[in-house]
Amino acid sequence: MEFLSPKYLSEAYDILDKRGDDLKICAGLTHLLRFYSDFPNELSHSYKGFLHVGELAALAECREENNRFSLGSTATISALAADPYLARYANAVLEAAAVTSTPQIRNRRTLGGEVAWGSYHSPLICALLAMEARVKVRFRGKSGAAGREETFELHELFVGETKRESKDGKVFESRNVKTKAQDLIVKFILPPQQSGGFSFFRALTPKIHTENSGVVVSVSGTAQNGTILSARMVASGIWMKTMEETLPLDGTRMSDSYIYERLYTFCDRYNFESVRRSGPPGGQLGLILFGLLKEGFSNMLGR
Amino acid sequence: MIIEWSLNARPLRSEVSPFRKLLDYLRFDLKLLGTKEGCREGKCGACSIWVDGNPANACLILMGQLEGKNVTTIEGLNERDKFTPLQESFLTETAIECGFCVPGMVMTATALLEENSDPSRLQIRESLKGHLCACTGYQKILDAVEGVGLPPASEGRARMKAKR
Repeated sequence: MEFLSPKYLSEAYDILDKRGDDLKICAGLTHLLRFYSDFPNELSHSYKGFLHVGELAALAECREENNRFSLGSTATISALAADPYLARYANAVLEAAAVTSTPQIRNRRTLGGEVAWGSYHSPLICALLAMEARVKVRFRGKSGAAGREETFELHELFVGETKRESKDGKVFESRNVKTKAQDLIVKFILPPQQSGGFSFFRALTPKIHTENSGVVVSVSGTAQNGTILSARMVASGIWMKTMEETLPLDGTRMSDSYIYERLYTFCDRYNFESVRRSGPPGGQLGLILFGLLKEGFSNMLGR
Repeated sequence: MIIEWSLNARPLRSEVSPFRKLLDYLRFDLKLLGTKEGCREGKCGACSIWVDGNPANACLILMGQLEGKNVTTIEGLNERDKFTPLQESFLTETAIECGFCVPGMVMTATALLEENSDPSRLQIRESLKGHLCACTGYQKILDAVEGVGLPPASEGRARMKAKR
């Protein structure tokens, strides 16, 4: 097993183009080391080596480009949680970063790794989906040709569901990511900031685990002159698959009673059994989601 | 693979497999036993160390990731034969029973106190989220972190007053 740790991005691209077939890209390694207790031997039948991109400064930058804010794929979660610009551009992403896992893991885990692992309970995937972020991926070229870069909507990255199994019997169901182990996630691009734009993130974590949330929910939208113009919600978690919906709040006054009434009606009528994975029954999932949305909007309204 | 890194402010050049976990290297090769081995999954926090001044789990770091990094363990935190104020506070508040989780807690809480010398109870709870303690219970540990800046226990009344 080889461990390649290039210092420059061009070096990493060279390695991927020349011999990408048998390599797996890795960065913070927190997911892999947690899941595979016999790492790397457990993966030796699939890969001959690991390409560690965690030290590539070019992939860790978070900056404003053409009125859009881009988040480097190897930026650590704690770097995101401390980013002053994110509070302005995407409050939901900042809030999601602040509650991801534990402080020790946030200092090591990268944004790209968090997204590529595809957990349903990932706060950052939920927030980025709600913000309608785009992702830039460098796909490995075929038979030694140079790789090609593509930018597409983040939700297109996830195709169906996958199941990982470790040697010691751990089974983990998550979103299936369409990139392969040799395709490099370069960055995430947030849409341009709109006037009156808002976003927030909320999670319900059962006490049985220090990390995983039963339900994570994120909302992004716009409001002007005291009226909500649009609001989009993404929810998922251990207990439910991804649910992407437009909230029926357009034209609603920014007043708690109007907002809560519409949210309650929405949650009451939604068929949560269709997105339920485990845990509480659909009716209770609806109440949990209503509680989280209510808390998020109350916080936004300063109640 | 040769890794050039620094451990407790001493530069090191280690010939080691890049896939060796930092926790194993510290405990079995360097015999630095202050970093405890708990769950090996990053859940218990017993193996917390600092990488470039930030808390991290030694069980979730490979030696190959440490090229050019500065690692600090609990052994590097103390001056010779002298406790840090936080360690004193753990003793004062009797926040130690078996003591297994304490080195990790001290590493994380020291990092918090270096960033914010007067953290709120909620901030302390958040920062210690990645630690498990099976015997003491968390209240005394929170008291210990909160009580670092308080007068010593010998000034009992003054300490109680400052706590309120």
